[in-house]
Amino acid sequence: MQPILRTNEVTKVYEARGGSVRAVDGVSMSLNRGEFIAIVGPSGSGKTTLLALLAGLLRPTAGSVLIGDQDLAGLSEGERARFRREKIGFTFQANNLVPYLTVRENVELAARLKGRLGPVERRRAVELLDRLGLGERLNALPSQLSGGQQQRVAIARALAHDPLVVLADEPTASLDTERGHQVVQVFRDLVKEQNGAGVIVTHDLRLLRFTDAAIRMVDGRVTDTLRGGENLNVVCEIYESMCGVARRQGQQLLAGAS
Amino acid sequence: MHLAWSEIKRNRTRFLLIAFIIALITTLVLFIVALAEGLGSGNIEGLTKLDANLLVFQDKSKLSLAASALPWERLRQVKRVPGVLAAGAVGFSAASIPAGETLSGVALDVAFLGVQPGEPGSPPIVQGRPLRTEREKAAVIDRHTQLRTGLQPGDTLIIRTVQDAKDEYYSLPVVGITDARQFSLRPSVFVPLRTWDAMRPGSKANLESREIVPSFLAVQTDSSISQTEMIRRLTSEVSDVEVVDLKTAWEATPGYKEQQSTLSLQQGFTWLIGLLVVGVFFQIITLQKVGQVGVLKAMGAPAALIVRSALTQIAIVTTSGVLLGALGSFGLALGIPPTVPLSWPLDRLAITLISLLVLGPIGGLISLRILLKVEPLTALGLAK
Repeated sequence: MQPILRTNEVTKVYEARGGSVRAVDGVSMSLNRGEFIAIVGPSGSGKTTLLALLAGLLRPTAGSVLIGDQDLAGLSEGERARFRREKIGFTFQANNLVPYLTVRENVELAARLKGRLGPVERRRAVELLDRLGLGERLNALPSQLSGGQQQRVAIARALAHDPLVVLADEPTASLDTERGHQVVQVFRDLVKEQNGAGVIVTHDLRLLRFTDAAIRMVDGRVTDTLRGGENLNVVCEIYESMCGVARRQGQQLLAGAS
Repeated sequence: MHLAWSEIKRNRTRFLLIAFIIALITTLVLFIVALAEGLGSGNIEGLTKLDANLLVFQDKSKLSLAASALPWERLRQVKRVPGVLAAGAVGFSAASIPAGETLSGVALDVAFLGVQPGEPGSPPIVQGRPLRTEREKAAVIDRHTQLRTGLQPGDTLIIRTVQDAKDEYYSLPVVGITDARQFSLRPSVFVPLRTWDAMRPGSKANLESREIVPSFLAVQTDSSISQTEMIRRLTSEVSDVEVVDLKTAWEATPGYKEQQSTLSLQQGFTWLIGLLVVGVFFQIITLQKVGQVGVLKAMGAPAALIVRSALTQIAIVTTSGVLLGALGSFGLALGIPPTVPLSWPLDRLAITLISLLVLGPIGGLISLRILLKVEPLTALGLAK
């Protein structure tokens, strides 16, 4: 089976005053249809930059990103915008929904951006919202919904135009545990139903429960790739290594104070 | 289009506010234009409407209607110049209509003119009949005099001039009404030239002179000969005169140029203020939307859509503002008495309205630039 998303040693280097920063350093990964993975790591690890590269929002300094056989590097600015609105679904940490559009209009947004909002697209929007338990709130405004409900509307919008790949940046950011996990579960179910692929960037390791696989990044490099049952063990390893780092830092602080 | 409208509907207050401000600016600008037109024409319409194409003044009188005085002989000399079709002598002085005769209860200063019936300078009639002979004791008053006195053809006009330091009162039957013909904002009264000569203000010395001394001559020339050529001929054939076309004459009216340029300056500044206000407003609401626009761009919204949406909003707001302002001006104008010098010529109004419509998009240009520069990466928090 052909992977639906592939990166080949993709690298992003920024020139800063102190020297160059390798935000993403030679990441190779591949994703098949129906797979739902997470990118985890501490802040500054480059996971959001990797997401931007996957979406074609950033041009790699080296390496390539292929989605459904299309090498994103070969596209112009305008073509990449077109690619995003046709083949990619997105949810963001903030500003997900347009505040002056109703729930249903927000989900229809993807179709509007393509310039094609017909009865088929309208029905699909309603179906998705129904599926997500928001069938009663079609004409509500985002400000009238809870955080969890808003996130679900965002998911509906991300999936409404049948994208190849769905990318989510911190989908549980402002949600409590239960609601957060609900949202990710629904996300996964829908992605698998549509036979697309999903990538969520998160710092919440508990979400690994719902994913098929996970890659852990530190300082732009992939340190671990986890599949299936390995997850729980590696989560413990991750926490242990984090503890180790914390212990060392604490010792240094104490040494410096005396 | 849909995005543009939805945003306006949800944020009615702020968009109504800016439309209202545009309406106010529109009203202000329209009134300044009307005032400029009204004051301008009030100043010069007496000259602009003359049925002549050249005017002959006393040389070195600086084209002043009041100061210029020509010996009677000049008329004969002018008529002899080839290319002159007709010439009329016009006497110009000041007079007033006493307080008891005006509607306002205040004495009305008028421009008092003596004309030769049938010759250039004699006014056309819109009501009643024109002046017929040079000695007739009759008067033709202009629209503005009629408005201020309520006089109709058949009524009697009482007019006062100062002669040898004494007030003299004359009564004349009004036989006709002419269109609006103010001179330096004074409404006018026309009488035949000899009647004028008998009534006009003057010192003892020039009252005792036998000859009529007109102020200027209104001349019609053959249109197949160029004005420059006719001016040259007249100046060379007739002694001690300055010959100018109508435009030069009215532009020399004291205060006219200054008045017009001041008003133009006011108009320009008001427009500029409007531009800045609109520009700042759209900049502010655009800056508030940067996060949202970033998300839209990340979702793949084409730049054209975002720009079109913003331009649509600007167009809606500007058009409704200008329309509101125009209607408001119209309503206000209805309530203003006709004695206030406001004039609304359609062509100037059309140009003004267009300039105001353009104000919106120009003011909004900076906000468009902001929109274009928003990076989709802001949606991920990665933009610089």
